Amino acid sequence: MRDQSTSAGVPSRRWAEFFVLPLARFLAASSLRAVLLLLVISLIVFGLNRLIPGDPALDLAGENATPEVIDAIRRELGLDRPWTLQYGTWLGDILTGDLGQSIMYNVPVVDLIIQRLPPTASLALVAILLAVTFGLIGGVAAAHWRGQWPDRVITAISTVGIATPHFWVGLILILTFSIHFNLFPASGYKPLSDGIGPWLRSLLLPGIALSFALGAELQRQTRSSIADVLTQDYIRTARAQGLSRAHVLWVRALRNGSGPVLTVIGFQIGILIGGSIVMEKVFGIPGLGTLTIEAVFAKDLPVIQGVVLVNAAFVVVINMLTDLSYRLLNPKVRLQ
Amino acid sequence: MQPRLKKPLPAALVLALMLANPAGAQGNADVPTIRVGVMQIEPTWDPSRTIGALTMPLMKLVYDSLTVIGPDGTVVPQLATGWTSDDAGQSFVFTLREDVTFTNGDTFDAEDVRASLDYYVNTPTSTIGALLGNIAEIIVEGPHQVRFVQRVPDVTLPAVFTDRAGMMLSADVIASGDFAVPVGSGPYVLVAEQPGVSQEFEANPDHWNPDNVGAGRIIALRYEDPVARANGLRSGDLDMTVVSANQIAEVMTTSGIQTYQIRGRQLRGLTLNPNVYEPLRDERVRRALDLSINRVGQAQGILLGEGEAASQYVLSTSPYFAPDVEPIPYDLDQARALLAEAGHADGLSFTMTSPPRYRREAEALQADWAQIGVTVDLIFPAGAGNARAIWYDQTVPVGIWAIDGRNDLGIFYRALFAPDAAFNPSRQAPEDLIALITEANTRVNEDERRAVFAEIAQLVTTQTQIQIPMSFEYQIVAYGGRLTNVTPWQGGFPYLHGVGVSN
Repeated sequence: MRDQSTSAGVPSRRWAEFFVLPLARFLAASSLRAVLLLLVISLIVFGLNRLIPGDPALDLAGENATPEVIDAIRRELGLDRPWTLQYGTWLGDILTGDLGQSIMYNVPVVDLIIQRLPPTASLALVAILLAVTFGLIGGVAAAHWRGQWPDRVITAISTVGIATPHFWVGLILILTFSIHFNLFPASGYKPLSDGIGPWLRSLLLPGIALSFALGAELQRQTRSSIADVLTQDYIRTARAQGLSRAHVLWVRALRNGSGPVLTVIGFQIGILIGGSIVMEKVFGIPGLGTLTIEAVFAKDLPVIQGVVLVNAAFVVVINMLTDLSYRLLNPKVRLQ
Repeated sequence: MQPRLKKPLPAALVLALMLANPAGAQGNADVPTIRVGVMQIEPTWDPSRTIGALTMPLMKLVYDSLTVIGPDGTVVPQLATGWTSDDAGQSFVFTLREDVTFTNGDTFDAEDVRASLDYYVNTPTSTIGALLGNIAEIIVEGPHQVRFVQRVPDVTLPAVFTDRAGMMLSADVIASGDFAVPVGSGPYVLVAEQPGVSQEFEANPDHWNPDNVGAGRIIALRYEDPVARANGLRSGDLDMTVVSANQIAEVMTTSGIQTYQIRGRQLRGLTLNPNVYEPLRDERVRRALDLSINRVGQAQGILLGEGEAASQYVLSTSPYFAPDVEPIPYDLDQARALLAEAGHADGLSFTMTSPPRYRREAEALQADWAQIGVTVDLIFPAGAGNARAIWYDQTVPVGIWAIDGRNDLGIFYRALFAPDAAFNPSRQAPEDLIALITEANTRVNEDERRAVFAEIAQLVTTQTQIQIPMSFEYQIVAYGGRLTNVTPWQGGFPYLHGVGVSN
């Protein structure tokens, strides 16, 4: 009789050896790198803040400021202490989840970020969904009909998307769909708590504008990647086995060609967060981008540091997830 | 087998329903609501921490002040019913309203006045203490009567109280030190806010003047971008906002939108600092710079007619404007001659700072002065960098400013020219000018005061001082057809007292 425990144990050990352990090692190393990276970023941001001209105490002292009032405000904010001490205190507070107090608004930075994150995250989410939808469908379609008229039309749309500044697209959308047809709001943000309809209505136009370039970039990358995969022998074999054209295209080809596409998505998400600053301005959306600009002009150091750190952490996590998805999708990378 | 999209119809229906529901865009339709787009929202409800007069109108929805600027620009009573001075401005007796309660239930009386002003003056970080620096003593003469004794006679005290320094707080709130939720006696009550983003107010049912309460709810939304503000108004997301001169034609194409101008609040000018650049100590050099400013060109070319050239420190429509005083001419030949006479026939070279939003004015000045051989390097510091460079660090010899026209010409002159004024970095203060300003601020009789202001106008337009006026920029308020009873108030934006809304 065959030893069941042995036969069951071999795949388990192989699973652990070839999948779980490398993955755990990868996650541990990535996390350590991320923490070190964030530490370096925090130090750089703190240093760069010193170079921003201006004085928050002077801003707060207002238009009738006297030197005595400015000094009193500076003392109250702790700005008269050595910068090393300020940085050390700030770093210590971060470990307890405290990003400090906003100089400008006199409220905890964490509260401000929590208030301003949903509009930015929502805008980014809508933009990514739209971009990925257009990018993947357009890219696969263009690869499938490579050199034919659908390919040319889709590529032309993508070229326009890459070449057009998204703030201009935003303004055109406002003029057309908000002012002329009065279908969507021209400005402002509705939280999800107001209902999914108002939330989506407030985000659709800025989302389309923001997704324009990303969608075009994704479409080009997907087309190139899928076109390359479609020439491979295993695709021909799959077709010869009688699999449907759609299955080969959307499952076999897309899965094997998704690596470079994922890289672009991961890379572009960071850019998207930066790009959302302009969209927030154009559409009057009170997000993290707007908060960052306000904080820079007011030299609100705790807010600048907090927002940059949160953004950096976000990008680091996205990069980790991108690397992770490589490993899950591609066994060769998993084994390296 | 071809893959198919499953259940496309239900998905499309859900999407359509999501997009079709406009309820959230209008808020609660039962309560008449005004949505106003503002450039700035004050981050504090403690008046002693406010940074400027720009955000005061929103604060005044919640806080009443002793006096206010009336629709025509004059000082009128609010929580005070009147005031008298029987010693030529040395002291003032203010009589207070007796029917006012704060939103915490406290009754407003003279003790609240004393507590408020003590708090503004004695808080070390107070940004408005300097406005009250001339008050030596506050005497409560009765439950609704207060006497203010001043260090030197000054008739501008009622005008001082139209600013933040006149906002009245409850003595109990001051004692508690908690300003997170404002307690005032104004026509509206703050019900929600998101720092730097929005403030939501509801009508105060106990306000002493129901005529001030026109809407059930007011939502103030911060839109820094002028294009976003104009688009918000045109699409109906906003009921009222401020637009730029070059946006008027565009917004007026939308049916129902109307506008009015707020004149005379924003004077643009220059500060010259001889301590930084020695040639500016010579009046002939200052005069040459003054004579080569094309003020009319700025008003027409940059402000597009939504402003006016300024030779005096008040608008031509103000009762304190001196019509007999000639405006400062634009005379390049005389300017060149003066420079040569002062020993600078080869020209001058210096740095000028300007807020980024006045880049066009700065470049126009650069071009004007280039015609008389003066080379100017421009810098545009962000945030408070401009104020710091001109007035505090004194790193530049010349800087452009835009200062709120203040509530009274005497206060404005003092802020610009007094030897201890924040806006006078060089501390250069001609005795004759200071004497005239002091005299104007001690004249109780309006005709006599006007005559002194005319003398000052003559002096500052014929002898160029360390401050140079250039132009008044009008603020253009645009509002939609839903609003009723809109008053073209000259005291600032937004003025929503008594403004109603029809659904």
